Amino acid sequence: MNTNCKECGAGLSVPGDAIVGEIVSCKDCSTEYEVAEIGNGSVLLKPAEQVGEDWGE
Amino acid sequence: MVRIGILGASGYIGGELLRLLLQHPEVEVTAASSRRYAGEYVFRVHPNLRGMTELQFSPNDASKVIAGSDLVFAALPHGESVKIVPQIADAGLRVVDLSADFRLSDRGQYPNWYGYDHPRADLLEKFVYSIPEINREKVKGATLVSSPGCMAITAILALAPLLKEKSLGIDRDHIIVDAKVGSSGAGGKPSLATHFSERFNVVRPYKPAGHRHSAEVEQVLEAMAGEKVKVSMSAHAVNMVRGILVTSHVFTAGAVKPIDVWKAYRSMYTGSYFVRLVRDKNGPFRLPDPKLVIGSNFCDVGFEIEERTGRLVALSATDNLVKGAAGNAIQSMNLMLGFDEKTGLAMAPLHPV
Repeated sequence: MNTNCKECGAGLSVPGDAIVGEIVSCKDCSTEYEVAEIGNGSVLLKPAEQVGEDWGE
Repeated sequence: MVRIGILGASGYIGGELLRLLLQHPEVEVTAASSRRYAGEYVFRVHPNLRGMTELQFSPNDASKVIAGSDLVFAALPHGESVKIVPQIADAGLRVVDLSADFRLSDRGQYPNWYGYDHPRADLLEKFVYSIPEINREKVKGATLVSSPGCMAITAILALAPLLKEKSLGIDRDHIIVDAKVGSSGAGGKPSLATHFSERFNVVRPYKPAGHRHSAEVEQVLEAMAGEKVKVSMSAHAVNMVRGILVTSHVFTAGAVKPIDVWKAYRSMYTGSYFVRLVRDKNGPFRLPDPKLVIGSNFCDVGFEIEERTGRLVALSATDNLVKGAAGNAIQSMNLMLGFDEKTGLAMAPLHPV
């Protein structure tokens, strides 16, 4: 199943056997998404929580 | 094999040209000149090349280089190149010049930025200022090529797509370029400022205003924008031997989303092997860092957006001696000679370094 990264627009491929709750990430910007729903060849993704940049400096 | 002559081969850029060209499958270096080291083996000045060549430096004699070469790289200081290169150009040889002497197309800019009147202004319009990712087709047909300054090309590769993409609404009067550069950017000639005790651990501002590379950055960005731009540039010497990080600040008229900026970069660089877009959500290297391009011809480009102030921060990193100098020059040569532009340049960066 193919969709696009909402952050950078790159093509995002979700494995055909993906399950709800699985995390997929964008190859270009590594934004992570959680598979929220699957049905009839389509997939709904929602942004997954990621650790922000904080080097403590 | 195409015969290559290198004028000014004893400096750091000359050494880098030799390192890369000695491994290039389509060319043979037939002459490497140096006024200071004429007669000396190349590997005694560039000890990393021991066992790779038996070449000896020849004097900076244009007529001998012309006789033995099909294409000449000139890695001479600014103001020196213009004394020798015209003779080679007039002889009909292909030239890739790495000095600033043929970078600016407007003769009137030379007294302002380089302090001399250009003696061969007729050649300025014949030289193609080469950044293959921006003007690849022009470089393919060129006989005479000028390769950009290291900080200039690093800044241009981050900024050109932003100025070209009109929908981003970049303020053309306030483009701020802040460069951090390693010690090899100052060349191989020692001075008190480059003495280890003085240079080590510095974060030394130099030319915080009026940097010469502003002129060539403006020249390219004006071509992208189709109108005048103003570039304000500052440079800093930092504690690296190789590498440049340029942080450029531009301001947008309205809100800009990351996906719009990605689109601008992809529209210019998709298919360009040597520009990598780096804006990662994970790991310690989320944005360009010179540490990850050292030894390679890559320029890594990334960005961040500050919505509150309308600021778009564009970051770019190169190895100043490769994509910032010798690598870009060889990439240009590849195009001039009809080779794949990656030939002899596809090496991965070193890591860790």
